[in-house]
Amino acid sequence: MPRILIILALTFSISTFSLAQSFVFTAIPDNDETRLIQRFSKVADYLSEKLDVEVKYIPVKSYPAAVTAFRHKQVQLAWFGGLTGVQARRLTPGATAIAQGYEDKKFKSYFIAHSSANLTKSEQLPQALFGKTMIFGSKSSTSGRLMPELFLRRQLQVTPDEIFSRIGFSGNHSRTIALVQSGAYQVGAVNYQVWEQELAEGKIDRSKVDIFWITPEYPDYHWTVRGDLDRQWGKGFTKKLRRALLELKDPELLAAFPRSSFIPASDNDYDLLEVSAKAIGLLD
Amino acid sequence: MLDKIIPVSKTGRVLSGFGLLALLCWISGDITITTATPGAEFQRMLAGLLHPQWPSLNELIHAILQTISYALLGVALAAVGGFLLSLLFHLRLVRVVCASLRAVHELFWGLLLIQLFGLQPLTGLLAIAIPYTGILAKIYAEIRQEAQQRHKPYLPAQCTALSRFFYTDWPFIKTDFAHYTLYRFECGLRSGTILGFIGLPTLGFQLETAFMQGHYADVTGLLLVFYGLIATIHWWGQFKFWSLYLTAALYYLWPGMSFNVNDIGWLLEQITPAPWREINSSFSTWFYPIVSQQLLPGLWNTLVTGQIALVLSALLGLVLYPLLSNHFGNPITRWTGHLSLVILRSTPELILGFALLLLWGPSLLPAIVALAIHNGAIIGHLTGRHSNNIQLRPDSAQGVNRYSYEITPRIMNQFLVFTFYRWEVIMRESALLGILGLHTLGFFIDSAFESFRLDVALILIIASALLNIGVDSAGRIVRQYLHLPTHRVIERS
Amino acid sequence: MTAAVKQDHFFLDLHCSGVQYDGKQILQPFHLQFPAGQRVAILGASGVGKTTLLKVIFDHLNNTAQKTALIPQQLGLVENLSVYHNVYIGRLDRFSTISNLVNLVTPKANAKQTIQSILNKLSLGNKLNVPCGELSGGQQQRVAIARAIYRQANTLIADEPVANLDQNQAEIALTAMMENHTNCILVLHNTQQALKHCERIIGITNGQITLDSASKQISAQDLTDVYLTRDAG
Repeated sequence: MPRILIILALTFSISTFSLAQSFVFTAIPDNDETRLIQRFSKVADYLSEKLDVEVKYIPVKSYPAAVTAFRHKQVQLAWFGGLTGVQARRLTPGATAIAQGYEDKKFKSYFIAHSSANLTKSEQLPQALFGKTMIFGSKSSTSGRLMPELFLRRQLQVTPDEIFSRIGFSGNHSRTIALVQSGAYQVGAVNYQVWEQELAEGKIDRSKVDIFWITPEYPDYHWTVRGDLDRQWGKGFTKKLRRALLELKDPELLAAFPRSSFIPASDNDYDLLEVSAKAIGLLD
Repeated sequence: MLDKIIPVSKTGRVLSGFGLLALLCWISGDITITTATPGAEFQRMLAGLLHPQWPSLNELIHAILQTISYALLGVALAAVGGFLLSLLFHLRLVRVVCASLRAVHELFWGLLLIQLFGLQPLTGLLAIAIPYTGILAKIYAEIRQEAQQRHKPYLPAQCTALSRFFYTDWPFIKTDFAHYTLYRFECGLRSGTILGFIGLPTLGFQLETAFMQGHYADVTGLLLVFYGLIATIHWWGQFKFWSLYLTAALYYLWPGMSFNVNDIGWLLEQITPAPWREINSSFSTWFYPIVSQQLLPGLWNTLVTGQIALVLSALLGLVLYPLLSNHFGNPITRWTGHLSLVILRSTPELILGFALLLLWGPSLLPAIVALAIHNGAIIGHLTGRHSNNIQLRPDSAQGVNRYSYEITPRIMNQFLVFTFYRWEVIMRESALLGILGLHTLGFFIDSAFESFRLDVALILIIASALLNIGVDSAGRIVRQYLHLPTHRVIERS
Repeated sequence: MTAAVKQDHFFLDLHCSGVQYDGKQILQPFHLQFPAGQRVAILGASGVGKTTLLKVIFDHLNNTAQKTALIPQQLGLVENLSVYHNVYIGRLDRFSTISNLVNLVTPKANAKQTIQSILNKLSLGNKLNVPCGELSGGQQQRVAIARAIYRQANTLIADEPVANLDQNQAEIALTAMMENHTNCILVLHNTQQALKHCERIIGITNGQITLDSASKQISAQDLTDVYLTRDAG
């Protein structure tokens, strides 16, 4: 019995110690969710060196889980998709966007189709979409759901439910490509970066699946921090963190996201997304 | 009318009713194979199946420890809570509370608790502990009741409840308690694993990631680890090690646990229906679309999936049970049968459903087949073991004749008990499989959580709980009508 | 011993080196010959090895591929199946599996007719479609007898087949059994029935065959000896 008490006491002290010390961040990359820990712990080491505090990375599976962890202070810094960042800031008073990827200023989605759907590349979304089956990415993905749905509604003047005979959500972009390639769905909307990367890796057979429409540009992934960082880590910590991110030039580290560099961003950059999400009923 | 032509028993009538209903569901439900060219994906799966791979040992051990810790602490908490509640089980309120706790799938509890605690151990172990408390309270109460009835005649009428408990109940029930609690621990491992699908760092986290990325070699490797854990649980999971394990699990998980009281207020606010939080908004304009666009379609698809899966599970159970029955085959076929049934029933239906979805595309079919395989294997396993109690005449028939005339009629009653007991479980899992993207209740619940509309999520969760409670009592009514035993069925593996 | 009969007229010629179970001698070594057409009763107090002897005999007949009908003491009925199907079980080996499976759903007309007439004889005529589980002990015993009769085997092996029947019913049942089988070996507990229906009596005491003679030559003393000397061994 006394031994157990000692162990328990020890656990207490360790836990309070570790909770107080490390700065935690998470990132959900738009592609390849495997070996996240190896890839992002190097980013953690970089931040740790620049910020002079212990930095830990925790892998998070889904957007809502990431938002929840962020809200619960279990994560102080997060690499969110466009819409998720908006959601996180709405749920966490004081949180702000501090940086975005170079590519994220002008992000876009590809509409792709299985060869059997007979959709050819066009300037506008074709009327032939009516009656097809459609797969989006994750339900709260900006490039896989929000913006594609917005453009569908704008151009065809009706809701996706009225356009497609069946609508699915794949959960991530690689899956979207796989599902359209296998013919499980005729049409899909996918993050352009993931498409280009998988194309380069030879995972895509363009005789089976190809692009037929490209969306206009919109902002997407960005870094969001909690508002209480300076209180906990000292004045100027948020600025220091932002500088560290903007100064990150090591291609190996950037490849984890994958982005060529990070550039400044602010909350207003994402107003378009918030308005769009409200328009299609994803936000109240 | 039919009775005039063929003598149809009560059982025959009930079973053909269920069969007919399933047929109607099949015709009217959304059941198709939509994939045009699934060959490549199937080949990749097969290749992965043949060449298992494992993630780094460090990550693997971490995931295993997390899974076991959630299961241990969750089941231990549930055992204590369930035992205390079982003492008050004569109170209607307690029975209703317990029924509600267990009517909500642990993954839905997980989705709800993640909002309260975030991504941390408390979420995982409570997601297991809460529904399991409801289950264990009921089972403990039934075991105790059985013991009391057995000893009542011998006991002096005036002895106190406590002395009666320790002199007659406890010695009689403790082995049953232990057995059932250990069985629940095994279930807890499965639950802990699939909690990874919503983001907790258990084996399921890596499984889902590997699936999503199409890394089927990793999927196979992780599944093998999982089967290994389950298959050896009788060896490493014994009660004598529990105090050690519990201390270790607590030590391991404690640093991650935290709780902020304010979050309760936040959650209560979020689950309050939106129109009640704002002035000037009407409840019905908010509520009506939820019912017509989410609740009703979700309920319908859940029912269709559940009813077809129930009938298919039963049929599969009947086909599979001879694989491990002593009355058929030889030791080698029985051993292989046993092994394949262990694999089929240990594979979480969420994982089966996922694989089938990739192959067949989205309709209710992958969910139905996944549920049928998982539950059919369980029913087959229980029935097969039960059939071993039968003693046959020395001159009884062999092969199919033995199957159809000697064994199957004899195990029919017990088989029906097992099957109707699974009814509620199948329905609960039908709702859950919506998380994969099929439009059962789980789909709408998951969507509500993704858009942080906890008020909508709660309404849908309550609907699924009511459905399960309804099916549970329907099952009891059917068992009574057929004069089947209505008491507990302890599933041990 | 019975009068000498030519070897090929025996339906059973059985050398047994004894039966042991758990290190205990249940049956002593014996040699028994059963001429074709003979009806034999095995008598003895309970627990002396009658059922074991019957099992040895049945196994031997089975190994020599002789068609045999069996009524074990536990009857071996399938409670969830109707009387019709339980009796039909007697001829499962005579039809194709498919036809057996179809019969489960739609009973065969001719089988139904045959079985009905057997049941009529045993005063079970109105029970054709009743599940066996709903019958009384005596009724169940008669279903087992009907199954044996329906089997149409030359040889019948039965272990106390009429133990639960009243005098009158037992008489009818035994007569029916004798009429439908050429060779009969029955364990009986009622000596009167044994003497009346069987030509030969075998008595067992403590695993040993202590009496084996024609019914006509048997004395009351012989019979009491079989039961009385039980503790002598």
